[in-house]
Amino acid sequence: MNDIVLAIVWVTLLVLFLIAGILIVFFVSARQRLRQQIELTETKLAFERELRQVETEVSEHIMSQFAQELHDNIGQLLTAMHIQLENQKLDHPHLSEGLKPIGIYLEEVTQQLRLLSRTFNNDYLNHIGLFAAIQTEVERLRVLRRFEVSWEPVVGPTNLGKNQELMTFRILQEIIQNALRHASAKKLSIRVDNKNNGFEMLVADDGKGFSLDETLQSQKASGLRNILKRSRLAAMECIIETSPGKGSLFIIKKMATLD
Amino acid sequence: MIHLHSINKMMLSIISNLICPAIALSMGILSYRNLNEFWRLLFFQIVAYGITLIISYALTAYQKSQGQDENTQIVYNAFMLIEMLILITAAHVYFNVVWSKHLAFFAYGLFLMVFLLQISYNGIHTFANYASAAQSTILTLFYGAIVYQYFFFHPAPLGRSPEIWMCVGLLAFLAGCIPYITMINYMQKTYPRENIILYGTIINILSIVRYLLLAFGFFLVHRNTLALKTKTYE
Repeated sequence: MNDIVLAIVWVTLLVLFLIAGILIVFFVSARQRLRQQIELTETKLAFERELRQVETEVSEHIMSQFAQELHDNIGQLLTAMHIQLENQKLDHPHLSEGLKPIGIYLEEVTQQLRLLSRTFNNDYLNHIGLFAAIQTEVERLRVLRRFEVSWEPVVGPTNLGKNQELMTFRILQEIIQNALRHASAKKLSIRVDNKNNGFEMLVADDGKGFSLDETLQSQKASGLRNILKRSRLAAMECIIETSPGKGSLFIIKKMATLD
Repeated sequence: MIHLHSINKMMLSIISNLICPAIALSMGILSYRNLNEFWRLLFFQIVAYGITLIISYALTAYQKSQGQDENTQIVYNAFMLIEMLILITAAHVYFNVVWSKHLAFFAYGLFLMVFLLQISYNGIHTFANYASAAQSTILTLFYGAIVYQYFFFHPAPLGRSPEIWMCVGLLAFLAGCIPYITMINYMQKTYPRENIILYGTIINILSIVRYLLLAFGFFLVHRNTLALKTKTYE
């Protein structure tokens, strides 16, 4: 009589232990799987980050070399041309009036080249800082006379790290390139808010705008993708507001969590 | 000593049959607006249980007043059909895929077959214990699958997983009952005194665990929804 009661109690306890065991096994293996998945994702992310870093370093290196070439070789050739032109003016005074416009063009080309080589030069950008670099870029654009550039100069250091400054400047260059090549804009406005340990750069144009989703899905949006990629790499937030016929607004923002 | 023992048994019975389901019901009512379809079905199971208890007490009182033998097994047999339907539908709602629907239909069919066979053999006034054991086995598999799915595909801290707590309680009750439920009619016929002790020990204790964990699950659903709302407003 008691045996059967005990047997039932023991079997019940056994079943309960079995259920508890199964649940513990589920729990432990699920946690292990989760940990493995997290590790795998972290490794993938680290690899991707590394890859982007290398990509950026390579492109920055190429740009620096290009700037160096422009400054050292083409700059030297232009100086030589300038000297040659001045010599021609001295040797043939009667041609002096005719050579004057060529001299002016040559001067302008030299100046453009100097500005361009500066904006490609990382060391120079790191040395003068983001705001001065933007100023140089604005001056270069104003000389081009392709559109009206509105920029309120800001002084002092930014609230960004050196790498973030460089990335922000490259993003600005990319946005300007897009505005020059595709937007047919008449006005470009650059505004920076550097208060309260934050940083926000707004770049707006009155060009033809575009459909963001369609452009990102197409094969042509390498510039746009580059902007987004660089923002992520610099831990900056990039907000793009645009639609066909309504111009574009790019907001590059320092992420608050980085503080 | 015997008197004290029977008081303890009565207390345990009240706690398991009334207080714990009432706590679960209260928590269910409190969080009802935040419950999804799955949780609402579990809530309806407690409501159905409550109605069954009321009918059972009313029937006992009626039978007493008429001088008949007390037997409420017909009510519990009917409740078994409803409970199985609710819990298996809840399991299907949780998975919400075609195979779970087919499997739920098949499982309910299987259970119904055992139920009808036993009822036709023993009569409606005898507890269909094999059908109950079949129900417990089928539901153990279904809710075990839910726990597996939850652990592996929706990993979250235990403090934010009401499904886990509810399933643990339900699994402990269902699986733990199987050995005793299989023997319950035999024990009642052969050793009625021991059967009462066993019922008080196994069913009542497991029922307390089941309904308290279900109440905790309702509480977690309520708390998680509140936390989510607060986060959204921030």
